[in-house]
Amino acid sequence: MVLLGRNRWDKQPTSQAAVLLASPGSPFSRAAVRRARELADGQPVAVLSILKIYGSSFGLPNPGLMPTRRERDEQLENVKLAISELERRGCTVDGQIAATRSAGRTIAKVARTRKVSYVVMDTQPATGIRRLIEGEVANNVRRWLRGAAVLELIGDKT
Amino acid sequence: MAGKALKARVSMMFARILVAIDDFGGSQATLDLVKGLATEGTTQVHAVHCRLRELSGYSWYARESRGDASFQAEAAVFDLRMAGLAAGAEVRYAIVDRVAEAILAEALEYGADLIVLGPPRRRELAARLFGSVTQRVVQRAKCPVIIAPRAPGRPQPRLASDPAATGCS
Repeated sequence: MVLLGRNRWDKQPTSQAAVLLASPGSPFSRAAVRRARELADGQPVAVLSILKIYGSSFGLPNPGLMPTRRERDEQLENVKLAISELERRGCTVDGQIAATRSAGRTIAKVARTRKVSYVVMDTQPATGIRRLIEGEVANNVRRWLRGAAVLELIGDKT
Repeated sequence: MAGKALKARVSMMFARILVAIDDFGGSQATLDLVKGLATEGTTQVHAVHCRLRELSGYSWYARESRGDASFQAEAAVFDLRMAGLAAGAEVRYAIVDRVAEAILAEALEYGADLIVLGPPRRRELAARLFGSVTQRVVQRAKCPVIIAPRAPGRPQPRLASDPAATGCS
């Protein structure tokens, strides 16, 4: 059944990849792209960027919590840039954007689906109140991966 | 043979790995991860064990004896060397709450190109409230950081197109 007024999502890639280059919404750093290429070493790389859905609105549909077109375009641009950079360096690469409330869980889910060996993530650790409320995406990814892949974190200063 | 070649290809970028050892019993998963990442003959592994010191009254005291701390480091080195890796270890004094700084200083001195940490002791809520060594290391590290999983991972099937996996070269 197709719901009226609702966009139909594109089919998500499920082919196996060696490395998942993931971002919780921030642009991919050069160091992360470089590390993903090194780890892949000619095998396919999957690029994933998270489009954040804000809050849950007690389970009720709320268009105000959905990401805006501008945010979607930003993520599209991030993924496109990462793909073009990886392709320029001779990698086989595909990309996807996932709209989700729980970034960590979705990244881990994609890593399991794509059967990757490594997940490379940029981390900009949250501080203060944000850390208290939202927690760390990298922590959640590690928890949800449950050892299915090796999580490599690229910090701000790498 | 082909599997060995793949392993060498994948991990050849990790020439100097620094691994932080907490206690030997609890660090087995971390050491296993390092053994998987390191390449025999290429990678040098340096284990660091932080001997915590705390100020109590007017004097400093260490939470574990010198002998215990040495044992942790030596056990890690023995385990790594038995796996055929070039390994060394150091016991480093660290003030309580300054463990991340000690690990980072050691990584800088050693010139590590990868830091491997064990799973964080603090659970989700405690880490959110008080932070964790892992978070601090990731925040300030100048090289990539890998965190060992709490539970041992299930091996993923290799890529079908991978010559090493299919056995053809």
